[in-house]
Amino acid sequence: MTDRRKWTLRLVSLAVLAGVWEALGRGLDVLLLPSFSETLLAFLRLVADVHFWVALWISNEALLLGFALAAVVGVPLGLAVGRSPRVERFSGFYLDLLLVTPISALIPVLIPALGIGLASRTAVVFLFAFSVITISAASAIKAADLVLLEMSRSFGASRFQVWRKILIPAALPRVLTGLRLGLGRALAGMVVVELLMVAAGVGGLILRYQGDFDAPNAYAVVLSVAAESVLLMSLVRKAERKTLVLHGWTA
Amino acid sequence: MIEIQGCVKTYRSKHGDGIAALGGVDLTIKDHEFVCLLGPSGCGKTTLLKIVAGLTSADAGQVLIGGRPVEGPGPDRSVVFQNFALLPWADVFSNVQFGLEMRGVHPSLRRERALHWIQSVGLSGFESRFPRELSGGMQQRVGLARALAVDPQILLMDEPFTSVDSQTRRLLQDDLVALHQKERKTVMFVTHSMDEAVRLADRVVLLTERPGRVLERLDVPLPRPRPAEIRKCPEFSELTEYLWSRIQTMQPDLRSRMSERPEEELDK
Amino acid sequence: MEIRAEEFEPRRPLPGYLWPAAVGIAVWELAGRLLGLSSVPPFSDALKATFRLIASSEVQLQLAASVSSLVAGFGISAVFGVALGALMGRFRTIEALLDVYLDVFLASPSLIYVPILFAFFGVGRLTQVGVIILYSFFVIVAYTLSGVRSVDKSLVQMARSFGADERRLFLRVTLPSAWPMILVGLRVGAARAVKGMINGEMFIAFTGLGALLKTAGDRVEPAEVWGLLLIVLSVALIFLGLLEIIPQITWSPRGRDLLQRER
Repeated sequence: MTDRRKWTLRLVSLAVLAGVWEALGRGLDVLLLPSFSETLLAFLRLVADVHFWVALWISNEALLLGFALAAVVGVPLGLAVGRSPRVERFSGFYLDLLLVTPISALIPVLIPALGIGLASRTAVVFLFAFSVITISAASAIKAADLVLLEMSRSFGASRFQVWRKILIPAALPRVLTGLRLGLGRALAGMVVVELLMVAAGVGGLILRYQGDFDAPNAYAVVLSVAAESVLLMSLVRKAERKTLVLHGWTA
Repeated sequence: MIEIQGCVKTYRSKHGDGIAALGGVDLTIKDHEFVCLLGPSGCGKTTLLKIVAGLTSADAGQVLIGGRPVEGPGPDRSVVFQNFALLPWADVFSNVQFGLEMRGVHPSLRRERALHWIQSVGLSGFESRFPRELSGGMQQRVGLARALAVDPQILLMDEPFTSVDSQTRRLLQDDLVALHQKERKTVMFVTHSMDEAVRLADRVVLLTERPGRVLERLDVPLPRPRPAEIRKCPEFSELTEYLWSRIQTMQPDLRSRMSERPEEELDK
Repeated sequence: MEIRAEEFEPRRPLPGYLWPAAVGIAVWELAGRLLGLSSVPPFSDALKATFRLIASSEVQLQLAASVSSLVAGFGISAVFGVALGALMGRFRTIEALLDVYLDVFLASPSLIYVPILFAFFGVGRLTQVGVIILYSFFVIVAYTLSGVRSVDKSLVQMARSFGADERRLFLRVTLPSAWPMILVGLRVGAARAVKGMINGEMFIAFTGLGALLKTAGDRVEPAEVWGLLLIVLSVALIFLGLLEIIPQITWSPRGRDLLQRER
């Protein structure tokens, strides 16, 4: 199937969705289902409103800090853990546990400890992203071809050289994947903490509009978060691919 | 009898532009004949094979088998694949009887035929083994047994020995010749090895690439039965040299792709 | 716009991990006693709270509510997710029509859509199950799609060359080939279903373990919170552990026969 046909079908699908949404929104006289056009208008008004951007910034502050922290801590930790099978077996238990635990269940524990400011929101984002980043890095360091390691040793490479020239380049793809997945989780964390714990940022906006039964605006904020996520994730994918190409990993 | 008449096939890429795989091929293969399609690695020969197999259709022209046009796969033909195409989760026995199963043959008859052919290709005792436990040569024997188990009139083989090492390749070639001597199927065999073509075929058809067209049809007058020693005959190397010189007249860059050449020098 | 299904699925969590767990429990116990932080009680207190909670009929009721929603929601996601993933994998047209939505739901945090669900269906079981489906459905579709797409084309051609029809092709080649990927998707989907269960319940704050967690947190009762946490963890681990057993069943010789038997 050609690209053009694919995109045509996608556009058709979206158009149908918009149409059905519009029809339902107008037909069903329900307070809670605004029509597509109402939502779109609310969205455009929202984008023009400074308060929205302030809220967005508040949310993203926690996202940035939490994710950066998770990356800075998680990647080196993962690389170090991955090198030692014994350490990996031990910490693997906790990392897997963290991967699988609903972090939101930890929220009632975190509030008394960290309060309701930026610190606690950052901590939640950190916890969401940390496990997948670390596990990816641990798996990444094991990805180096043993033959390459032997080869480098046969030329008398030092420990530092082995790390720099073989282990780290070999680890790059998985580390990047881990960071991408971590960002996805960080976004979830950003939203979870605001909807369940601290009514700040965009989450707070949604809750406020919901309380006011202001459906168009609530939907608009939801859409904007979805849009930000999709944009961020696709940017990150592109960056990931470019980085890999730059370091000789793909064509 | 297979009659290929004016076959044309163009592939469309993602962006919509076309790659001409076949640009009008005419060829007739008689019953029980062993024909090798020879040419550089690429889509032309395999495409033609797939059209005859009924797995794809030509954009223009037609293929007649026994006077009737090909409209899809049929019980009269079966295919042996380059990378074996064995089900990795099934054992040798299940793999060999797979074709029969797809054709709806009764279980007890399937069992009987499968076991017979497993034995014929020399894999008795390996019925419960899995493909990953077998060497490349053995895996291809499974593929061959599967293809023969459905008792086709025509065997279509797509570079079946390319994925094995040269020693195994020789043994498989010798086995195939012996098998053909016994079963007398019509065979269409795609290869990019001149050595292989001369070893196996009654007739070699040279194809150019992009678009694929018949460059030359060469009879191989070597006698049958054709034991392994035939490789030592002067006629053998005359034929391979001739094919090589004909291939070199195609595009110049093809020369570097015939990496078979140095190996064949050593084989002498 | 490529749908790439990648996640790190939880590795086999139970066997061989007793030692780290024991160490962790020991550290927890010591830290709880020595540090004396009211928000981190020692392990023994948490465990006591857990038993107390499980004994209470209130908690049993909520636990049952949570688990039943989880099973229902995940079940629906699994069945329809694999079906849709297979359809999208088989028919490029269907894929092109739907992949936009799949990408959006995979990229965006699922909780963001819960207020909408809540507004529509209120506080009942339907919303709860809906949230769990929302959380788990799309990853299952993505992994199934990926698995079906990555079927070795030569196997498909081989089967076609022997005259296999669509049904046989799907059952004997596509499905077995895609099955490992589908399984990964189901495991990841299961982990997400558990998260959806808790997140949804905490948001709606009406029934289930999540609601209990929220009230315990609001009332600032740390032992109770940790006790509930242990229960949630147990539910998660048991649920995921059960899903590990499925491959055992389907890949045993008998299981394989079930896949293979033809009339």
